[in-house]
Amino acid sequence: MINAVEVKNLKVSFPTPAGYSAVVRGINLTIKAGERVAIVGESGSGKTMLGLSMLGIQPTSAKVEGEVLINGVDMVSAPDSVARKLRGKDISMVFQEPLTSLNPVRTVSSQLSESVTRHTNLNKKDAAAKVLEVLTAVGIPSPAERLKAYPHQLSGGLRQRVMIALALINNPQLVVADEPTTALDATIQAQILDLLRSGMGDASLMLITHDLAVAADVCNRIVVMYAGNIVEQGPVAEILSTPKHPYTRGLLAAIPRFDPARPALNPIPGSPPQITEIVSGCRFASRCNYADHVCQAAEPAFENNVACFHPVIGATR
Amino acid sequence: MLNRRGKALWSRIIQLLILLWSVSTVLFLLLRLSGDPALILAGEGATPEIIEAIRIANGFDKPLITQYFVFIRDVINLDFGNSLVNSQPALSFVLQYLPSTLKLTFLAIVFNTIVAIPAGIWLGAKPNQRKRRVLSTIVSVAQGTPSYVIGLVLIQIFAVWLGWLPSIANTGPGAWILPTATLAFALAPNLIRVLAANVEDTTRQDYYRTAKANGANPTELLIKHSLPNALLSATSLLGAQFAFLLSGALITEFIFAWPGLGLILVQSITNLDFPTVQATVFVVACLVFFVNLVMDQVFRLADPRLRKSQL
Repeated sequence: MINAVEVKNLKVSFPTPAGYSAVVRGINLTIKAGERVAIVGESGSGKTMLGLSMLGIQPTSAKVEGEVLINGVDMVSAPDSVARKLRGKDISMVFQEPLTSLNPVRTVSSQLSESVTRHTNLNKKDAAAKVLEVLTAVGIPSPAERLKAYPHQLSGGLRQRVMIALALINNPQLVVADEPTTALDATIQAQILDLLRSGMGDASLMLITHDLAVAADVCNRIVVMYAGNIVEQGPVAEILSTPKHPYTRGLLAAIPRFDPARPALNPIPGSPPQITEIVSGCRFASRCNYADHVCQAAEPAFENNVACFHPVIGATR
Repeated sequence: MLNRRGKALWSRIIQLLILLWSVSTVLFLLLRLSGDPALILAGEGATPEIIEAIRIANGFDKPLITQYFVFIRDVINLDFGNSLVNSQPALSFVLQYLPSTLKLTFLAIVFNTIVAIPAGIWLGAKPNQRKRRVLSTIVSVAQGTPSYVIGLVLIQIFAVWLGWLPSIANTGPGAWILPTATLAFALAPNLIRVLAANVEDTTRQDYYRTAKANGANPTELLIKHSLPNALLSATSLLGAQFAFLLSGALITEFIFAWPGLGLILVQSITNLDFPTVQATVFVVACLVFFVNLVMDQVFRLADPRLRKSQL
């Protein structure tokens, strides 16, 4: 089975007065064909920058090192003229804000067919048929009538379906979805999650979210990021039942539930380090209940699916 | 029952009437507030008999409120009285000069857009390149230069030193060039800067990132994604510039002795020719109103967000 993407030692850094500071600090990640992987972490954990740099559309001031291999092309070292042939065709992205992510002065059909004619040699008529087909596939009611619609004429949920249609239209092998339901109503959220779980065809999914419940609902595998590093990863059931990293346990304890027997929410104290902050040792140590002098001295390596000197053994609670 | 269009039209007509009424009232008061109008109209060295005769001829002896109603009645009949200088009916005298101002304005706008749109797009597409920064500094300086300075410099170079172009009056096709260029130079820096800022702004928008994520190349990004949005927001400035030219080309017309509304206005103020002043201001107010009306319609056609509601 081929891999949808292989990310090798990916680093993304930004210039600061004190030199380059990394927000993605050497990520290794392989997503298999058909797999749905959630990247979970707090704001500022580097998960969005990871997604953007995989497509090569990070902000221009960013410096990217490492490799992102898609169909044998390294998106990091390939010139833009090569990398953009893969964008929207082999790898595509769904963004958080469905209203502002579509061009406000162009119709839905023109934005979708633009992407089809760019990457295929379909003629106008066949491209139009393809647009209609994919709008139907993502569950847009009376799609033929929406073709001439402008983004502002659609509801938030429909706009996000259009965004997903745009991501899927050239049958990519990987779709990166960055917080695709955060800006939507709860009921619409559930519909979009359904679509991401079972309406993606052959595409693999990399779902970026801060919400473990969403991750567990949609994906097969969860990757937990903290301050630019992967701190733990594993199948959904394992992460939920036997999380090893104290940060993952903290995230689980911070999920609100309708359960009268459960004690009050247990938020993780403090906040992640700033990007300019120099941290020696484990980057989570200052917020960790299990931390000792070992954690202050060196940074833990990622071994056996966790990066921790004191991985917790056993089930939660 | 009126549909939405009909309602919009009626509200526009009412707006126009209110505007014209306010302008007329201000004009009426200005003449009366500036002292004894009969004394002003009679000029220096007039005998008391002449002043009294002028007072009675113009109805200045009647109570102010009566004068006001007479004035408004005349305005409604589009009768501003006769020019005190040449005794022609003021309105038709002013209207003779309208085409010449309209042509000048129109040419200046065309010239302005031809220069400013490519320049603005070029500047906005890569604002941090050194050569583009140099141009954008020049544009900023040009924006701060008053139009009369530009006009005088152009006259000095092309009419006085080189002797290529005439510098006064509408004496042939060549005479159009300097006034048009002066007006365009006065407007273009502003349009260039707004357009460049708009183009630059679109590159920070989410839809631009979406287009990039779908493999658009730099040319497609600029033409298909930046420009439709950037040009749309620059249109509103163009409308404002058009209205500004109709009323504000005054100094330029004066410098070039251009036979247009601006020159008429300046001359009639100097001559204390109040009927002509009133007629000119009235015509300009109407023009600005109609330009705004047309620009609103252009916007409605160009911006899908103003066109129709939710499907």
